[in-house]
Amino acid sequence: MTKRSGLEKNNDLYFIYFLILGLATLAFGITDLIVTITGSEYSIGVLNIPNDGFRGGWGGLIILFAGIFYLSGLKDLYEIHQLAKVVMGSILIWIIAGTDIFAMITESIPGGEDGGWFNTAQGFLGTYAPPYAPAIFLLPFSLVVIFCIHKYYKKI
Amino acid sequence: MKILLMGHPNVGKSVFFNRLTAANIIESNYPGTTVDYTKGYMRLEGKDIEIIDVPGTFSLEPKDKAEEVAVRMLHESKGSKVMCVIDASKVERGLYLALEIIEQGFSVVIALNMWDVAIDKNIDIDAKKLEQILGIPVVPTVGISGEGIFALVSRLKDATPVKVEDIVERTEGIKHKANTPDERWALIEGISKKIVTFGEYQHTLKDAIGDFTVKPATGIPFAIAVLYGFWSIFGSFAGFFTDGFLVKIFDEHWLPWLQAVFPGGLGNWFYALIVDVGHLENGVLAASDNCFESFGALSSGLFVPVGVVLPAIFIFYLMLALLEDIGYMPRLAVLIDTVLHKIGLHGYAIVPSVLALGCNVPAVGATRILETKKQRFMMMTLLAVFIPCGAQIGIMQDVIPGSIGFVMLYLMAGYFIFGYILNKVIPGRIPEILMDVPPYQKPMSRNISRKVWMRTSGFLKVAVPLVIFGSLLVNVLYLAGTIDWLGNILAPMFEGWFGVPRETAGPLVAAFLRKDLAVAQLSAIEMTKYQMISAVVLVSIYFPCIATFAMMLREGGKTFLGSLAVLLVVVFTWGGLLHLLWKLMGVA
Repeated sequence: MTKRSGLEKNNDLYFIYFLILGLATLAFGITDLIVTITGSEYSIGVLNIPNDGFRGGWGGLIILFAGIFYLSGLKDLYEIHQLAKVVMGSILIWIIAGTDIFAMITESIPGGEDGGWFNTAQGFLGTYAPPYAPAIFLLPFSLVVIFCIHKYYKKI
Repeated sequence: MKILLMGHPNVGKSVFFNRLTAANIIESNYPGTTVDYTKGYMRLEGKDIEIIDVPGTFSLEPKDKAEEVAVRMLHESKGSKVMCVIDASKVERGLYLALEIIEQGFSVVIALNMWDVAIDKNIDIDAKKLEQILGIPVVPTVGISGEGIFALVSRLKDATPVKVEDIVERTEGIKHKANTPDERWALIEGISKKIVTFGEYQHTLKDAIGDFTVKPATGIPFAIAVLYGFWSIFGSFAGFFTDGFLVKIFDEHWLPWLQAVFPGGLGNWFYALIVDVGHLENGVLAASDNCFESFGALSSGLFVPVGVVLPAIFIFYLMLALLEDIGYMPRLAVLIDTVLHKIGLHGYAIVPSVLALGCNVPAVGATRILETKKQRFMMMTLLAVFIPCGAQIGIMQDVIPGSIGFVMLYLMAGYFIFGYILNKVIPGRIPEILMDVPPYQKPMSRNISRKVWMRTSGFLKVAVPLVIFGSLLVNVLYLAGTIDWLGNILAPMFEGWFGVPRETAGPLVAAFLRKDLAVAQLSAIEMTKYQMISAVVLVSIYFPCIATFAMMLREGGKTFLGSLAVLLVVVFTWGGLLHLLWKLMGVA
């Protein structure tokens, strides 16, 4: 008998999870694009939607694509091509969030134009303080896909 | 003894070459990395043996310039041994070339490379049986990890010429020739039946993602994300080193130190050449406070290549090496194939185009992977005119940080529009290509670090002397009044047609040596934001730098004059059009 993928066992659960994540990602992407088009800064609590052409425009478009990847792949996730779409959705989020975090790191270390060689401890920590861009919030939820890959290869 | 390393493109010949000769040549996970042959030596049993890494070829009937080199090398090396590298996961295709080489009377040893990939794909090859049938040594290898390389070298002595008729006899039981392509393929089918067993193979996640990254609906969003990541990391990394540390080192320590210790002082011509030309403040000559404006050979001349360009070039080459070795570049080529066909090129034109974003010199060499003269001419011209190198982009990020996107878009539009026109105007054929997309693979840190080191050090060797010399030359021309003279003569064209100040003449002279230096010099000229964008575009589409110039002359021969003619037309139309655009917008 052919062994089944471990993902088949709780397929409905994964469906609901990626449906919610996909819709949230899609909403963030659309908001990002709207904010960029209108050109107005949008910040609410710990969330900041970038409005510049690069991060808000292209970045928003990529978040939107990530949402579409999630939604198109969530049905029959135990099928390798469907799982691949969901993985690609997560990769897009990792690219945006990864570059955001990398930019934070590179900004946090130097002392700035008028400061010393290196940033002060307060300045360093301040760089990592909220508000954050949507991709940073989506990042932990997108990591669930690693568990799905593990489950996929764990045959039952 | 001489050994030729031969095989299809992208089967790992360069990996073998590096391992056998301990040399450093660029290896990448896409075809066409080697477009010219490379020579090296291997020490075997106390003797130096010459090894030649021949460009990849599918058969001995060449279809592009790189394949022509391969076939010529073979014909000029009678009596040599041939190490034929075959992709074990596509053994039949590799055997065709091997049979052709055997037929020419060469002693051949076969490396069944990418043995690990064949195992992953559940392909079982009986290497011993293949050796018996062919009558030549056959060794399974994994070039990237070095597995099987020693065995392969030790079997070189067993390689002797064999007759194809004997191979036919051992395969089919009847002795006859296999001279035509059909006869060769029939023989290969017979051999394959005896040695290859295909097991059940299930698509892996890597395969599925590989498929999606070449389909437009899923591949284009992915490509946008990859390019976004590329440029975002490029900007953050270059900004971290340049703005964070190197500007401080050069402006607050290096320049003041030079100004303090160098004899002569402001107004002295030698001091101006080496340290600081100064600038006028209320009619009085004042010292510069930053290396962008000092223009000395040891101030700006070092700051531009080391302080600004080096971090940009380093991160560009690191990202490019990662994309190459993962195997993403061929997928990008497949994705963009349809678009590039509209301008008479094909997907693999993306390789020289992307390489040009690092440096135009190797990119001109990489145009050899294009089949026809027409395509090579078009590619060389387009990349020399419309693709700014990494060094220039690095400086642009400092000089026009907010407008760099517009400049890149304007240049990209020019690339496609002039490509379309050239395709219509220039006679010649545009062949279709079949692309071999390699599997995604984990990049090897050794290969990445070697590639980044070779490309970055290669850049430094060329750029540092040229920028220092360029600074000196422009300063001499300034001091001699030549730049002012040129500016006055060309003023009607600069101010009237291009809408930039006449002082732009100086940076344009420097642009012939280094475009990054020219953009840096533009920053010292007073002009509006729009004039600055026009001037940067002008520097980009103006003559290629001297190193690219020389490479184009070498690769293009007489067609180089055609490239120059196109270049002149582009400078006037595309440069003038931007001024017209500003006028229509009411900002010029």
